Amino acid sequence: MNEENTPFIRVGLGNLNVVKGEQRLIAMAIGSSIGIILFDPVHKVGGLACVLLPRAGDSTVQHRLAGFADSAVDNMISQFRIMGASVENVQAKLVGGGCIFRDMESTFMGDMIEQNVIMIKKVLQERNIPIVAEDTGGNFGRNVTFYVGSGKVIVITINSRQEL
Amino acid sequence: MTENVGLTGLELDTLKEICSVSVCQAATALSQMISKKISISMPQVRVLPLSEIHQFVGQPEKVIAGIYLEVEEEIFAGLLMSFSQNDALLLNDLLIEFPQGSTKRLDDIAQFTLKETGSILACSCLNALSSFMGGKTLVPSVPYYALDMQGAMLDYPIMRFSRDTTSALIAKIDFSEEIAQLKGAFYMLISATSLSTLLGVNRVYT
Repeated sequence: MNEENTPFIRVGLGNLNVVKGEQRLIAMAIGSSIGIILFDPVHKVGGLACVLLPRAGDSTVQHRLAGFADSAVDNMISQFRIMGASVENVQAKLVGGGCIFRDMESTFMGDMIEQNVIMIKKVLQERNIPIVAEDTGGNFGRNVTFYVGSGKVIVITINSRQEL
Repeated sequence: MTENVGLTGLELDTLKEICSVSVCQAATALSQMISKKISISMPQVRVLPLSEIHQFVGQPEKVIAGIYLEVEEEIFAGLLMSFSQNDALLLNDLLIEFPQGSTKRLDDIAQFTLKETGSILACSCLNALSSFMGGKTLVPSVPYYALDMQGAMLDYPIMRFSRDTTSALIAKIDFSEEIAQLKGAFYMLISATSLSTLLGVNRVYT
């Protein structure tokens, strides 16, 4: 089956999706937010979450959206279990955390984005999920397509295209 | 889904009116700068959960030349002026009164011109907004320029706002100039926590 013709689900900012088998998960225009991709290559289960901040405790209010790395990862892992994937096989890929406005890099915002990426890595480390690939930082937005059937991740920016 | 964060109907209407007038002022400023007549769309003002802002704006993957400014004192807001790449080149011609098609690429000088334009548009918008708030001083940040996906630029204010709130007010206006066929848009995002300051009431909206 041609991978380009598989059904796809769009994952919006502050949302997550977990699917099994030949499907695609697509996240459009990831800027300073971060796309966390979890994949179990044995059971072909994959999940994608677009998170804003590393921990739910970083916000002073209760959010309904899956905008936090720790709660989003836990949520995805529990869905992985339901779909029959084993947690030991899960690998993570990180995409995003770009500082779109070049001049902003030297300001407080640039540091905040950098810190977010570091903290999210820590969140994954705490849960013993290895990060096998990442494409973070830079000055551009990214479109991400995750082929759950093969585990392939294609990252497209306005002037490049690469596979993770 | 609309979420009105505990605003009454009257308060929501007031906010819509205030924000519509403010974003219209941005279009007026542009019209004065290029001394041409600008047609505007009906301003759209909504209070939305942060995760729905991308949907409201539409086409997050669309590549635009964007100028972004932030306000951090008194209220927490983000302002974005957005033009497609071709429109940005055209705007540059109009601003420096060159024949159409003279600007070939968005080099440093063109970027600087756009930044200043964005700054002026944002300031006129904030001026109008401040007059509704009893003349409070709203100081915008320096303008930031990027040529990238629209949705990626909006990630900034959404990320900042997500620390204290789940919703935000977004005001949008589209403008166009008939003769040169210039099209653009202006967005204003205000954190829900700042809405009480805008309305001058002693309540907390999240």
